[in-house]
Amino acid sequence: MSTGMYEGAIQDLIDALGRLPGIGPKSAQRIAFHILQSDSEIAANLVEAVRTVKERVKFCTQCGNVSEETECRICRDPRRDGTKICVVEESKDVIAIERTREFRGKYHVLGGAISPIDGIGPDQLRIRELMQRLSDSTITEIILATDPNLEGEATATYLARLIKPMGINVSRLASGLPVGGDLEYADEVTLGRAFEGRTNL
Amino acid sequence: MRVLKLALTNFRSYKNLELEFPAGPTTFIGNNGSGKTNIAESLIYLAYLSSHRVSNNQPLISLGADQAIIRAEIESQGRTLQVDLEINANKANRARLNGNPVKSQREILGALQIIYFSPEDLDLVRGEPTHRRDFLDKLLITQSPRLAGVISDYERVVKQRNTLLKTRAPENALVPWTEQLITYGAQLSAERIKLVDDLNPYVAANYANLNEVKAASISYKSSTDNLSADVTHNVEILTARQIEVARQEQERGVSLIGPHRDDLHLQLGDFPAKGYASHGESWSMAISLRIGSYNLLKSEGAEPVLILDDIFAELDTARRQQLTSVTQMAEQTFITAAVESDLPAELLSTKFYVTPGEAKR
Repeated sequence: MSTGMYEGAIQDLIDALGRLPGIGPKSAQRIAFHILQSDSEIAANLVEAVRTVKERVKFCTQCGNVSEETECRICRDPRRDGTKICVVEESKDVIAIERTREFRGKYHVLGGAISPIDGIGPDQLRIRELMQRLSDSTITEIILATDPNLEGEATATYLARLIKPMGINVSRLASGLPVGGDLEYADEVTLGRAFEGRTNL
Repeated sequence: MRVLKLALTNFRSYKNLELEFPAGPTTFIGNNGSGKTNIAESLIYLAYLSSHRVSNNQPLISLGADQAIIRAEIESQGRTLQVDLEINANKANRARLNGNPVKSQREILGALQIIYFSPEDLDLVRGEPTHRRDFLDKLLITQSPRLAGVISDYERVVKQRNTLLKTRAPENALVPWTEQLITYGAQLSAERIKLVDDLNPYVAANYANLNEVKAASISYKSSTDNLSADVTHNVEILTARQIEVARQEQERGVSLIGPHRDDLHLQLGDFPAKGYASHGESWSMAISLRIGSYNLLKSEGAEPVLILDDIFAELDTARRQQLTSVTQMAEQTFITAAVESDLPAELLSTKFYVTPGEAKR
């Protein structure tokens, strides 16, 4: 690692920014100097936003999504179909699916995926809470929307084996070709998956 | 296929090195520690996205630099491809093809196909099975870059599953990983079995060419009997075998079946090469594996670049001749040596003299 070249407060800020995901030492330095040179109002707004997010934002007691109330906006909405639950890894996956406007059911946020080398097993995820929700007999369908990688697949397999014996319909999001793309640019793994998951016309 | 230009920035001992190569043999001559192998290593890294000398990237990056950069212009079947690779120590590498960033560095696999020889090749015969598995896997990646994904997924599944086994996790927690172990393991076993079948006649022929008396052959030794080149068949067999070893795995805390426990068996006459082969026979076997790989790729229409790193000092006249005759078939060969007189005259048409940080014609 490069050694700190600045003194005191500015280096403290660079170090703090550098610990954020996706920000390397050079970006941290650029952001720090941007803050230093901008209006004190902008800096104050940032400080305030960081403080309130930690104070005010909680996790929905139902689905585990981020929320300012005990229950999130989606769980409170009576128009949402309570018989379908879409299981995702993170809150940001909820936002991604919401943008499609395809799904009108409710969500369950696990808080990650099973990964033994990172010390994350079923007990570290919100799986017990999901099972509690499923004991409510109105739920008839579960859509597993974990990431299409090794850990996401393992999590989906684990959940499917747990939920299927309860007589609930379980499905997994399809993986295949990106829409609007060219077939020739798809990598072989994606193309292979798309072949496996082909549909009848 | 040949490398037209190679540029290294902050790679090992080179702050800035730019070289151009003609077709045919190019030789790097320099004292021990002058940096000859670093040049060979940069090409090996470009071909496999890993070094044959170290397992992490830090030693590849010059002291005080943030990243190392390898840039190469490669000509293949009349087309020129520019490949740029930025090697990072603590985050993912970044790559570009013809100046365009690619999503994953794996997309540059296949741009440069190589077969390399190095003093460490003796480990192929005398060393642990891991050297021979790595030999097979690298050859698979050269044949079909897609398999790099299968291999790294498989390795990660084994790691995840072993971690779980060590915590004495219940059966239902293991199942998702066992399923993926079988899926990827069945594919990798099938690919390796097919490769060894295809490679065997070439290895046998090369070994015989070295005036050795005994007959050489290679076969795939799997931790599970009856596997074949058929993936679906392997899934069935591995699934059945998995049930047999389940209890033993729980007791020992490791995954006991799958391609990570397999080996490439080398046979010389009536005995396995490991433990029985003389020093000379071991070298003949190692060289036959490498030249055989070259012959196999060539028979499939590939034109790999040959890299002979510090190998001539290890060999006697007959083996040197055999190796020199292979370079005459290759479009391009890179050779490193400490002593010029170790090399046959045919290999000295293009010479670079290497001193720390520099290479000059």
